Amino acid sequence: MIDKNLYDIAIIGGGITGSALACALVNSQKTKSRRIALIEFNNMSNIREWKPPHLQFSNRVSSLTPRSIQFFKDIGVWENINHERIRPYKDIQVWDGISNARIRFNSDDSISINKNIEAIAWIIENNNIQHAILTKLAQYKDSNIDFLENTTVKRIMFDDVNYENEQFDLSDWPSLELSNGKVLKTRLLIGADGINSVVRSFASIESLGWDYNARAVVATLQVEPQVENATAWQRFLPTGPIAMLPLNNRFSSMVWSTTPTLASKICTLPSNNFIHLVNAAFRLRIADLEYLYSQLENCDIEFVKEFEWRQSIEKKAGIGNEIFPPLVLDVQEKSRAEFPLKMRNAESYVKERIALIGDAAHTIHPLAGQGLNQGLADVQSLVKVIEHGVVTGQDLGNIQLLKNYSSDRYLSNLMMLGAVDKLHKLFGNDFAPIVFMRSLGLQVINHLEPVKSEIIKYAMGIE
Amino acid sequence: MKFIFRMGRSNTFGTIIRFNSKIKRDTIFNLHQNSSSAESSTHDLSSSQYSTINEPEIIKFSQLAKEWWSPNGPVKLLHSMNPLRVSYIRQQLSKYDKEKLKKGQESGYETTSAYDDQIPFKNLRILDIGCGGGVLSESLVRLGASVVGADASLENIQIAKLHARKDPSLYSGPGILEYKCITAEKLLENGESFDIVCAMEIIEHVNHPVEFLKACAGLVKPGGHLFLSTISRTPLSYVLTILLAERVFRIVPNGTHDFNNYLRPDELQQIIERIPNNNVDNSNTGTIDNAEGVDKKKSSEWGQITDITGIGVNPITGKWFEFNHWVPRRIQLDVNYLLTAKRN
Repeated sequence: MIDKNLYDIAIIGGGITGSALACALVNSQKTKSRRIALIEFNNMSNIREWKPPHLQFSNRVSSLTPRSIQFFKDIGVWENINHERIRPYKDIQVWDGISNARIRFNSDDSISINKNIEAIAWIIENNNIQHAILTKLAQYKDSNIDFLENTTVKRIMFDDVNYENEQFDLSDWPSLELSNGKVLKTRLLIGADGINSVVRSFASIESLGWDYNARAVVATLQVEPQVENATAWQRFLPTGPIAMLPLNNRFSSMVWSTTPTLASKICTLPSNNFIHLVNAAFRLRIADLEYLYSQLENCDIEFVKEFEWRQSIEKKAGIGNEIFPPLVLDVQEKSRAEFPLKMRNAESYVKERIALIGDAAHTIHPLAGQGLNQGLADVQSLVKVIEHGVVTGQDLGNIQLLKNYSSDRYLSNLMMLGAVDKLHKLFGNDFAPIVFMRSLGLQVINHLEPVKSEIIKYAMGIE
Repeated sequence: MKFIFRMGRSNTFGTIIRFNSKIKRDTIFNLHQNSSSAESSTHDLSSSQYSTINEPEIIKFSQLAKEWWSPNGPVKLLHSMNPLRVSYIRQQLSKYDKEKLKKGQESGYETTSAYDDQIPFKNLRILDIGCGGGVLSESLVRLGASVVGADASLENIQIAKLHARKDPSLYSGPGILEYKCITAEKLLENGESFDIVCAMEIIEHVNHPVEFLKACAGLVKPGGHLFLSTISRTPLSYVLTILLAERVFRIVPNGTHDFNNYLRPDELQQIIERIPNNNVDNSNTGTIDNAEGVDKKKSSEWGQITDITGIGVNPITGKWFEFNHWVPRRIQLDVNYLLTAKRN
């Protein structure tokens, strides 16, 4: 009796948040009999059959908080993760590029809250997560979910087409015109389609925010073999933070946000010069680093000599005896890439029959590694709201219900966006009094265990 | 023994009702009755008088339906209260299910878990008296119940029917939805009976609550449940529901409520527990009850109140909640409350 092109929930975007949402919905006893469509324009077979070469890592990695991991455990995704390719980190070292003021976070700081938490977060390749989700979704082949890959949404609209001989009036259900010629109608449309969300523009929801005048360079680095590579390092340079995150005892991942001109030069630098520039960026004084920046186009200069010479002087001067990240030995071929940095928050996450999650709703600076975790928190919240709608017999697209999702997530996302944005602005400044105050602040917080514990709890997603 | 609804639940959007003159109501009624004949006369385009009259009426009704179902419209408090009402009914019934389950286990019966969390009301026949635009009825159908939504106002029934077309799942089973423009008393006269009768936010709108409650109670099958929700008659409820909600903040239209029609929980309890059990069928089942140890005196009464729960709305988030147990009972039950009664 019911049209086969009618769905309860249609999710546009089969990335990590979109597919995790689909997975959580079919996994839930309360929502599993809803008809779900997951629509993704890419062909996912590469990721489905993901077989990564040994000792090679993708440059797209994420930091998953204990809360996000618990969620993946709950929906049965975590067991499909390739556990040899994930790395927990128990320490965070953050320091000021100008004053060298430092703050150190350790997962022990949070032990008072929960003894089961072994690490602050886990570094994991995005492909590893996506592969695990797709593996889990494949187990639900016979359930009510249709995974439409290789499918573009050509148009979203409201139409007056009457269904089932005019018995029904579905004019306020969104219609999706797909590239395969089908037209779907859905009770609830979910935009998990990233920063340029078509769902968001269909709903005419404004996205507020700004582009940072900065770009992030990512790369997979081979580092000096460590006994235990389990620290996340971040140094705030006046041009933006540079971070090194552990992948295993011999590999780390780098995210370096800097000015657009520097970013493109760093990306194209010969690899032997690149690795010493990275070493310099973690170790040398700003003045030395600025000299190296000025020589980026000079083909005759050998960065290794410059780096070693300058570091030896600093060591003699007594600077640079601090603990530093492992020295970079090599950079994985073709692993360097750059992308723009943005801060966005949609003016609203919901409208009648529409909800936005993940990057479609908000985009954050990567310096605190919170983007994906926020997206997964959206997913958890939305699943709870949909479950509540099911058990109370509501129409799942009704705005009264969906508002529960936005009131749960909006403020909390905004706070995180604001906090990270303020950090970025605070440390992107080299005005002496500000440098002094922030350095003082770092040192004071470093000795205030309760404050540190609160910060680390917030970053770990522990309520 | 006739009593009249003072506009039934339609009072909650008094302004809209005034918009419909008697003539319009009649044409709509005709439209409804002639729907089959209209189909047969579609070939005859020359006599298109019917279709030209009907078309704007449908549009007008859709407008009305939009008002009823608008989340920010005049009945928005009813919408936000609905999930809590449904949860309450589920919670009260599941209490009973657990008892049954326990009994079954004790007596050694195999209790196969036919219970489905997604359709807990499967196989239950429920009356939603004063259904209005069908807010509660639709929810109950989605949870698997066979629902009769009844309202004394034809406009409300038309609105409810129009809105139900927006959701195919209301027709895909196992739930069944049926709307009737009828009073509780008439239903009783027709010999109808239900596993559950819901009279939500309606007693405060009827002229003779005692008679109304008797009719509702009579519609409940032996062993079935009666659910009520209403507003208590206290100084606080006057300030909140009339002074603030109607006059100051205008959350609901002025004149929605009449303070003198409010009933306190103890009054409501007295009325219900004094209703005689005059159902003829019950005297037969009464012997079975006796076998289970229920004394005769009890079965001569209609039934008992099994729960009274106070509810409130958070003025900032607009969300309804059940009071925490530590809030003094007197305050809990001072304004809005839900009540469950079980028939012997």
